[in-house]
Amino acid sequence: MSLLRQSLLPLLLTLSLAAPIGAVGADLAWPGPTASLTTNPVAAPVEDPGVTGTAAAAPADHVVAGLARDDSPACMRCHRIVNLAYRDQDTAAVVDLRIAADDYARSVHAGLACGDCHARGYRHYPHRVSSADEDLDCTGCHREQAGRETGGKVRDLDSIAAEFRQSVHLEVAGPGFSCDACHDVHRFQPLPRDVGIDTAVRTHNGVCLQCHQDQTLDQPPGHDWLPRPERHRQAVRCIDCHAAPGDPQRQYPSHQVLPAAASARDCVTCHRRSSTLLNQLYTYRSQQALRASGWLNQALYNDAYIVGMTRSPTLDRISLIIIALLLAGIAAHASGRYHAYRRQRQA
Amino acid sequence: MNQLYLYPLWLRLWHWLNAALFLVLIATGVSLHYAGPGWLIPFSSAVPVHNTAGILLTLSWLLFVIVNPRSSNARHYRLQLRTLPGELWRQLHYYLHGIFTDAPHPFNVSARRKLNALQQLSYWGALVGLMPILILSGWGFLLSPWLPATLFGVGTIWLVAIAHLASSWLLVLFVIVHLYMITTGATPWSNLHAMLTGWHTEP
Repeated sequence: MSLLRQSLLPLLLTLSLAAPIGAVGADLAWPGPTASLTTNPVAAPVEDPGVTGTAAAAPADHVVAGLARDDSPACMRCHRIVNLAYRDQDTAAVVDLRIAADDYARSVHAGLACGDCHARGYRHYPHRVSSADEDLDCTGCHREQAGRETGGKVRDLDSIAAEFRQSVHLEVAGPGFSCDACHDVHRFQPLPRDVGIDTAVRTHNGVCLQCHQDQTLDQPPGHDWLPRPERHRQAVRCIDCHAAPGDPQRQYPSHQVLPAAASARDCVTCHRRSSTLLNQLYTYRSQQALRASGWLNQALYNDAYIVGMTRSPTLDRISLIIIALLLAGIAAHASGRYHAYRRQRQA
Repeated sequence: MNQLYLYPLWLRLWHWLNAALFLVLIATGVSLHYAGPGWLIPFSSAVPVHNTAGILLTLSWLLFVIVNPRSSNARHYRLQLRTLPGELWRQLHYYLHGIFTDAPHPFNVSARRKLNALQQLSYWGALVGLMPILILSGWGFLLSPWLPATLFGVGTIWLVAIAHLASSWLLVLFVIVHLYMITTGATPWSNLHAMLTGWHTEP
């Protein structure tokens, strides 16, 4: 981020707001850990204020209250331009400086004027490096607003910040990595409660894939052990395996992203939750395969098998112990025969 | 030294085909069951190999249950219920005691009867008891859309999977014991030699 900021001064083009840091962070391929995906098809919640969804339009007065207030119209004179961007000298990435007014009006921050967050240093054109260096204090603002408001409209982010401080993102990328590296504050809105799981998964994973683009490859790095990675990516949120378990009662997921080595790799945890669910999933897959490829291919390349469907750690342990005891018994028996054979030869 | 031709070519081919299929099915089956990172066969390779071997094992089993009763080999599988308990006891006693004291083998192999009571029971158990469960449950996986969704209030495919797992595990035990028991012939290699050449050698 600091490199980005050093290159910002000669390139910022307008008199209005500074570079939308959230968009910058999101567009860059952040050098985070190589992610890996696994399983938790049942666990994806349908509401999560931590990602940008596609909810209903915001009330029109938000526009008036936000982008139409204070200096915002002046900022938007330039930042509304669709192709307002520059190419970062260090990364060669194109950095989008546009603020989409419609998206902003639908976002949870629609009521904020530009100057409410970008408080100082934007009077000069091009904007100074120090302008982009401003400390956007998401948690401080949220704490203050949550204390003032009632009804939970503004959420205190302190618990998320506490988790984030233990996140591998912070550990690997350093303090420059903050909320806006993943969440575009100019479009940010909660996912509606009634959104489908597939949409929730896609939206959640979209946040991660902004940077971890290599995870969309057919053979995503770090996932060579995972069967059908694309299906997992479509059915399971990255964070279901790559974040520490959060409070299940909470409506947003844990922000303590784990290193690859500490991420969940136990297929069984998800795949043996319920025999009925298992049956539905298995039968559905079999039907799909039969329809697509006929019974012979279905028989040979049966794609429906669900990893770990019969696995119980206890039964696995008992069955392996019995096999081990059997082998030990055989070894003892063979040893007894060998000694008997030697005794007879000596006699 | 007395030699008996007890294992005709078709039987030996069938036996070694089964042995190869069992080996493949166990290796791929373990890889599917314990799928995850590590030393196992990759999941995507294990699935078609396991299914293909399973279908071949089905054909092999069908061939045996159709051909064997009509062949001269069938007589070796006829149980003598009257003498069975006594023979079983003598056989068990030999393996648990007599084998260590150089006692004579309680069963004499002949052209009329090559399997002792313990062998007969274990082969009946494997071929008629476990193999149908293994095969039917294996096909239950492959043809699951035609099965009812639930059975006794439990997802059918889970029951199918448990039946497949339990029967395959018992057959693994059978294979382990079988591999050891073939070393209890006149010499450790004589039974293996007989299944390779067809000729049983009496010392």
